[in-house]
Amino acid sequence: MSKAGAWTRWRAGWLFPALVGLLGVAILLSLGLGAVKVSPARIAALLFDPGAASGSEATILWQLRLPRTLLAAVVGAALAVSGAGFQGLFRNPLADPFVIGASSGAAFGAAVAVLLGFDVAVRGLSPVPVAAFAGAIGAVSLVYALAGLGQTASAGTLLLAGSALGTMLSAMVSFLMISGEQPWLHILNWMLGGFSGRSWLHCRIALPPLLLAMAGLWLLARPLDVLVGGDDAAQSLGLPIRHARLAIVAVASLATAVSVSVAGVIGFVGLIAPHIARLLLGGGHRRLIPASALLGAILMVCADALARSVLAPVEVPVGIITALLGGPFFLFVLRTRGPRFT
Amino acid sequence: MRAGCHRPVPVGSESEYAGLPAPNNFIARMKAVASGARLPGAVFRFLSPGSLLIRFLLCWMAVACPFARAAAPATGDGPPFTFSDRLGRTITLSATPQRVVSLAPSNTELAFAVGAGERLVGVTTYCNHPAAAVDLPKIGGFAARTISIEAIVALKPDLVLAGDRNQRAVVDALERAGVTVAAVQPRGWTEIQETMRLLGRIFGTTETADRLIGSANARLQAVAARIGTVPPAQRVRVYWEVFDEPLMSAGPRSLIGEAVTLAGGVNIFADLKEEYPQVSVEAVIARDPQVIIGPASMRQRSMSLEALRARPGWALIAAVRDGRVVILPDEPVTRAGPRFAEGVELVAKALYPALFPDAGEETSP
Amino acid sequence: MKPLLKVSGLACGHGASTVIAGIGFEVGPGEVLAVVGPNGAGKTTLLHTLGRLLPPRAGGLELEGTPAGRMPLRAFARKVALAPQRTVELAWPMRVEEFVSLGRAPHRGWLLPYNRADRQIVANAMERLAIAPLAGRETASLSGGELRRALLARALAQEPRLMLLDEPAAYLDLHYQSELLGLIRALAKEQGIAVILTIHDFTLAALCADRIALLHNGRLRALGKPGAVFNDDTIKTVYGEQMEVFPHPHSGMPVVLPKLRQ
Repeated sequence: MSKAGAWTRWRAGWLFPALVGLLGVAILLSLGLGAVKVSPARIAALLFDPGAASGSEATILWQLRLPRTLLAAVVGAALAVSGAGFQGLFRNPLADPFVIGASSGAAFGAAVAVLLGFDVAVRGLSPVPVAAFAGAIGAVSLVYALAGLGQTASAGTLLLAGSALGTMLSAMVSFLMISGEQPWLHILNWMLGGFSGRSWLHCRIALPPLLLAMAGLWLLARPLDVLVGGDDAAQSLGLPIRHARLAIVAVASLATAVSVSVAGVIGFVGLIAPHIARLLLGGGHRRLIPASALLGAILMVCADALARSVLAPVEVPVGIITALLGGPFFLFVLRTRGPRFT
Repeated sequence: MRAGCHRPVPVGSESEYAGLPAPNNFIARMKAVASGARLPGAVFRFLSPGSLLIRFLLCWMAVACPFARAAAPATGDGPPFTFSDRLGRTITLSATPQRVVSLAPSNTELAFAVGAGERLVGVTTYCNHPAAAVDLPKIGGFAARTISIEAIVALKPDLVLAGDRNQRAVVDALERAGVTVAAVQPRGWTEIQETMRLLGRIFGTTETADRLIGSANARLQAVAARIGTVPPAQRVRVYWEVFDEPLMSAGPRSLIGEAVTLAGGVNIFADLKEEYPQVSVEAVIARDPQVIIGPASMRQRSMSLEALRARPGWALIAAVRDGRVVILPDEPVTRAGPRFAEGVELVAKALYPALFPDAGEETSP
Repeated sequence: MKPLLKVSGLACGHGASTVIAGIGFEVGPGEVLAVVGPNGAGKTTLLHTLGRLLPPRAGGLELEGTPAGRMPLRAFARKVALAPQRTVELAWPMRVEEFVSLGRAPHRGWLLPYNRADRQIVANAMERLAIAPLAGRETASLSGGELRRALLARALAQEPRLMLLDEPAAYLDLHYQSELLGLIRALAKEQGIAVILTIHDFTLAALCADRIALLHNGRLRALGKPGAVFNDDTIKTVYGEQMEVFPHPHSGMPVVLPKLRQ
């Protein structure tokens, strides 16, 4: 094996443990932050002996912060992986998990649920997340169907259809928000995204499909590598392009839809985490996907911890924090590593 | 003794109390006689039939006055009248406004309360109190963008009672359209009283206004008196949930916050500067309120005791443990209007039920 | 010797136009066939049709006796490797080693990880094309020539029976051009791979190819050994009066040069 190949393999060798370690630290610190501060030493002690926590401390840690932090980590990872998938599928570094209309569809579903006053709880969840999930999946399916109607169902058509439908749905959501002045706060809050009040119930429902979707996209690493080189190259290597595209869209959209339904629309993580991963490890999706997942998890956990502690006891929407965190960090990495691709 | 009610209602206009006798000229003559009467001896003043008649009439006037169709000309406080509104603008009224449009529910309630209700020709879709306001023509919602300038202009109002700086755009637009507009909506109890007095002067109903203010303050003082018996250490901790998603409470600077303070409660978010801060669940749990109050306008399901217990981590809170979750009609304490004192009484009863067994109505799940 | 590839009555085109009306030829294992012709003659279209990127308008091709249209795509990819001329988005950062490894996909599948045998084949391919030192570099940082060699390595890693190379010597200076073409010829002979390549430099075509196919106006103008194809009349018919054919002073192979204007 060549020396150059060996060196990059070695670098990947310590990078992954480092990222996992960083995630662990982030989770530990996050458990200690919030309206009630708990020192990391105490958290470490409590992790070994959970029964030692006092009443409200235990409630806050085990019932509120732990599920919330865990959910933030997995949702961050899922959004990052989904973003990596879409960036590879569309060969576009500006693609993010919401590029084919998942967020607009989810917002539309949520708006309809709020305004129609659905009161039925589904498996313990309020109707808004369920409607949001249905909206997201519905929108993506519609986009895929619309794009496939044309002769050349290329990736570009998919992007255009997604953009068009997304714009339409956003307009409808705005209209719904204007027509009723009271519920808009509900919809707006949900659109800004956040993890406040998320519990083990949300974890139970969201974690399995998210983990499944991430594993699925990791399996699709090689088709993504090939698609990145162009449809011609992909076909000459024997890739069934339509099936591969459908699989990638389906799995990435599942990850996005579940994330959005449980945490609202949180931007930037899905866009920036894969970029940073690419700068560190190159574009091979076998490594890119797990690295994006770890980076996305770290970013989201930090953002959530900040969201609930920077102005405590006031909670800032997580989407604002992710934008403030992700942008400058990305610029910093870009400056130090240099632009690697146009 | 109450002086005569001066409501310069134009002669011939309909009043809902039409049909009652209004012996205006007779009263004026009687007063002239009473003031200038030369009856022998002070002691006979009380007993002479003339004075008895006058006293009877004056008493009757005092009682029936609000229903009288007084056509006596306005004195002193009437137009022309110059004042400045909440946006610092100066408004001059050359005559008492006859056609009034209100751009805020609180303005509508205040106008009705000071006795100018029948002059209202347009209100917002949220103006639901008193009942008479519901049937008035609607000119839009509360947010500036939902208010129709054209609808207002079409009603040809003499005066538009606008909100505050949130409706700045509407105020400017109306000014450009040549309509007289004054931003009078109050924010706290002090401003509510100011606005009541101002409206009283605008419409020449200062006595009604003063009476309102007096009675409201009396009620507040009564509440304060009973609250005063509670030592500070035993004041009740309150969490007022304005909204559930996002979790939103009321800070001390909001009207709700003021009501809670006047009702003797301790707002668990009394340290925050925002009017309606978005708070974290952890903070509520950590601050452990003894009573949770929610507005009746929110869906009952989300604020029922079962629903609160089901929220993760909430079962630990004192209020949920003790079942002290109260749903109150929120308009008296969210609308800066004449019902504020009533709202404070409701809150006080929710916090200290033993001290206020009789006040108002209250629904608790 | 049984032909590896048999083309009969093949008509190719893309979009509305039919570029090649109908041609037929055969290629045997280990044989190098160079397709030449003026711009727009359809060299790339022919290659893409042979590689099943474009459907044939008429006629068909047989690969080792089996009609290619009936073969599943992946089975076809195990036998035929295409190295295109234009590379889309090789600016996407990927390590060269990963890029070349993609050539193993038709054999290994899309989901399973590569094993040691695969990695060995990839390493060999990179060695043969002298890009082993570049294994850890990003494809975006390669020069034009290095990129073409990476493409070739990927095609080689596919272990094909037939290689279709579109302008493999483009972007290389003269020294490396002849070196690369010599390498291609050596590979074909060593491993019995049939090679069809398009090229516009006649001299180089004559040097590396066993046979030349000259395309003109959608037809196969000539097919045969370089000496037979590169003669005055044929060249003048296709390229007009601007070309001249000389014999190479040492090897005797035909050299085609443009007439210099005085």
